Amino acid sequence: MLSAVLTLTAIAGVCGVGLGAAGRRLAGQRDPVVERIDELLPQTQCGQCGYPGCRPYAEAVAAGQAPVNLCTPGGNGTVRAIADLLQVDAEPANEADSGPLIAFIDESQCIGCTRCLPACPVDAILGAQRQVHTVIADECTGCRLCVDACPMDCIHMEAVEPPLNSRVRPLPTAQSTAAQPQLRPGPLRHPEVEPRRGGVAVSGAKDRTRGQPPRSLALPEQFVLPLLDHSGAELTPTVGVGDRVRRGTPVTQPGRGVPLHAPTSGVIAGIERRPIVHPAGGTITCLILTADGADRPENPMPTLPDPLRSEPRELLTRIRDAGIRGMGGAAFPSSLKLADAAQCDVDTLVVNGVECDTYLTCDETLLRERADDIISGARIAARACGADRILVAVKSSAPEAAAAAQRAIETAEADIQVVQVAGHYPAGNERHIVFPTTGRTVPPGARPPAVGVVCQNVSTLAAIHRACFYGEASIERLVTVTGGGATDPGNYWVRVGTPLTALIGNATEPGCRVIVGGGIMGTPVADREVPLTHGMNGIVVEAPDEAPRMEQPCIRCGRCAEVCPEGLKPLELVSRIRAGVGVGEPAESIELDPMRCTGCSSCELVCPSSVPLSGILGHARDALRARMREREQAERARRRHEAQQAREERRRREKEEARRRKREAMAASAKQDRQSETTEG
Amino acid sequence: MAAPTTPGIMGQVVLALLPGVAVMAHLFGVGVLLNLAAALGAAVIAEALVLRLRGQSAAAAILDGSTPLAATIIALALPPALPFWIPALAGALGVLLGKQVYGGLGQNVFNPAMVGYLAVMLAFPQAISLWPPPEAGWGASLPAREALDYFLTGALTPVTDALTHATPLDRLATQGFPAMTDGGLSGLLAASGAWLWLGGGFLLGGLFLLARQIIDWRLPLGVIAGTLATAGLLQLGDGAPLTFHLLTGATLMAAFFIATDPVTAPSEGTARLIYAGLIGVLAVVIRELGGHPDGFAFAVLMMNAAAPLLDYIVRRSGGGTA
Repeated sequence: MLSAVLTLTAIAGVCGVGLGAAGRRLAGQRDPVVERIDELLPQTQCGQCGYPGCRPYAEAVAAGQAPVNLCTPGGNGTVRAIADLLQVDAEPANEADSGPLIAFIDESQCIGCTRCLPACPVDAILGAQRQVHTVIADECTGCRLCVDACPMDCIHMEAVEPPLNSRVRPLPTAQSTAAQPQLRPGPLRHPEVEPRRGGVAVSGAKDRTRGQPPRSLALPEQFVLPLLDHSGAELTPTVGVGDRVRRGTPVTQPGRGVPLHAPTSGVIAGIERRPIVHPAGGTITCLILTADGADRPENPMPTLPDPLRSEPRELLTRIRDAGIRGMGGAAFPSSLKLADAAQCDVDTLVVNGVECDTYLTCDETLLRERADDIISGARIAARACGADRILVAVKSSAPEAAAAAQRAIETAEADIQVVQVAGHYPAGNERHIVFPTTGRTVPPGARPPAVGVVCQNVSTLAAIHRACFYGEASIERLVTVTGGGATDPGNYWVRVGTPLTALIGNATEPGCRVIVGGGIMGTPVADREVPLTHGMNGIVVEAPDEAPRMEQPCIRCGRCAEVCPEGLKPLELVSRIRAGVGVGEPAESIELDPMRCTGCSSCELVCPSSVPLSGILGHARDALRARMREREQAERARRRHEAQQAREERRRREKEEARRRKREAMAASAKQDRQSETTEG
Repeated sequence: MAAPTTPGIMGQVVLALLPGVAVMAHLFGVGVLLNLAAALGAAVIAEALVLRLRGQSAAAAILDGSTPLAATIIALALPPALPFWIPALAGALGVLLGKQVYGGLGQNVFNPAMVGYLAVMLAFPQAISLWPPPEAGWGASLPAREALDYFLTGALTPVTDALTHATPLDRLATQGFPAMTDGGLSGLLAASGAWLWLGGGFLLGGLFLLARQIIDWRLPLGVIAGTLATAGLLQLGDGAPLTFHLLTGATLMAAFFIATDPVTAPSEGTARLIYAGLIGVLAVVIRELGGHPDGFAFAVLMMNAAAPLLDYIVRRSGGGTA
């Protein structure tokens, strides 16, 4: 009996010591809760929660003295994040979530009293005595503290749409895609799809428009020009309402990228927000141009005497001034891309004529029709970026295009090779075209210049040719209009800014989508009035038998992971994203990193359950990007607030110091007076 | 080739099971088909009810084909002479406890068919252990009339009583292999001839699925390798021969149709090999050393529970493959 008791006691003692040691040794290094809550707060320091700043509120929440839903500027998103962190139920924020707000000062009423300046916790208001004040929109945190400080009531809060690069596309669910099939993201239903390792073989999806000569489209009455930079920022217009422009007149400043040009002659009828093609939807400021029908050209830019012998600098300037953007889909300014390539010392220019996305034939058609322009453009681009080798990549299923390119090379007597790429989808992605053409491998997450290669789309090169030889701005492109629902499929020369209705009309099949881009990577559009832009290579009008199937539950078959060219695990990612696990957080491992997804949608093409994988992964990418931007803004706000506090502290101390010095001086002088009195006395 | 759809995949798996069903029906008579009908009917009704309660479309979920597949596997796992409530209960419990409580297809941790089978096996151990001796020939061992009566009423007639007896695996579990061979080698051999046919039926379907790239080769390979390796190791003692383990009971069906369920298997290639191999190991260990006649159902459920962990370990160790 005694021995049993002793044994058990001994065992219990050993186990207890062991547990204690393990607990001490294996204890995780967790962030203090206050820090983590503070990180989630928007750092507006507005005090609307009743605490004198974000950090005191974080401390109160961590101590359990404050509810989690007091942060008004943070909105419901912040409330949820804090509730998740503390694992408590999230009560919604006190007020309706109206999205981001920014203060605006009505300049006709501002009297320049400067009272709002100290009220702003992040120094976001500029102004001086009797000067009209203004709000730095990028720094305003929407805390409303200035509204009450204004004696004239001339400050009000306005809702703003976030910039394009921090808009988050909605997470597609089985319910949302069933309710709005016309906005479901993802590829069309392709009858002939075969999974391959790292891609998909798709056949027979281009036949509808193949081999037809391109046609021209009559000019529409009105053009819409989105003032959109490649970075998602807005371009600044150089024309105002009522101004007359001609075809090729620059209408915006180049900003960080390239300027935009008027597609025809006419009058600027308005500057207003219009819907654009974007996975997250929304509107952007656009110039509205009413055509006068005469199509009078602007005086062309002076022609370069011999573009093939010009200085690279001169060529890059011309390519920028002509407003040339990548026409393969991304619409990235070509001058920036080539200048970056020149800095990376690339030695090879790959002319991308692969056009691997389905339904599209515009690049192929352009190669057949204007191979000479393309080859000439390629030589100019190669000179501009310092590449001394040019390779033309053409899909092996388009032999006529390859033959046309070969003929043009012989005519030009240039040392250029044509490479037929046999690859499957997504062989035309610039990260994936490098290996079959040059034998070099682009490391994960890197771009081709990292291995000395720069890729240019054939349409872009043709535009470069016209810009350098004829001084023409890039205002037109070849676009494929196709799909089972298209009334007149074919390739059309279309001016940038043309509303899609001018191309595809208004007839709709219920539940069918209009897709801008190719049959796999295209984006569905909600409004057919959206304008054509440089990056749009195709418009696909879906027929009912091309619409994606209804979503079914994922059976974890793993086909998506097999075909992913980036080695991701869509099946694991999707269940996490849909459960809200780790969305907006950096990925835990490289195969679960949505930022590495190029959006090629191969996974979705082979998914037997038609899960909208590309839309789900896109949502995660957008969410992470938006979150990073939010954090960055919060960090900036925190720094500005701290700087302000430090400044005030310094000022206070200086004042005190001055006062003390004055007091001392007075005391000293009084003493001196007394001393002098005594000596005198 | 058109991209497969989920109902298409499930349909092809059911199609691949048909040779097995045909051989079973040929060997054991109409009871197999009666079980199938009862399990299928109960499973579909249970699924429709639950989906109605959850406010989802019942038709879409039933048409995805996973429920008929689970019901077919349950019917093949159960002995051919049973009163109807046992296969019906197995089908309904498989759908309810195996699938819908987790949120439906794709969310379940455990193989629904195995959950349903094990539920009735633990609830009705007596009935589940009664297998009629398999005999080739269309005039099956159990006359159709008798089978139907037993199916409807559950009353054991003298014929059924005489015809049902403990299976070879049962005797292996209770008496060990030497005792079995002492008892009557000829009966066992006759039986194994019939089992050969059944194994052939499942193998045929499995090869079809492999050829259509519907199942991952790692899973059946792992199960068979695990089974043979463990059986080989037990040969050192008084284990049953390898062919016995390979062909009896559920080995081939588990290898090609149960372990290959992608929902409950790991997704990493290496993890799948380990998962399938351990299913084979555990099943033979339970057969030879445990108290239950067949171990595959338990082995599959145990490894189902370990699947996420295997994925995690493989990923952490950097051994993940595409």
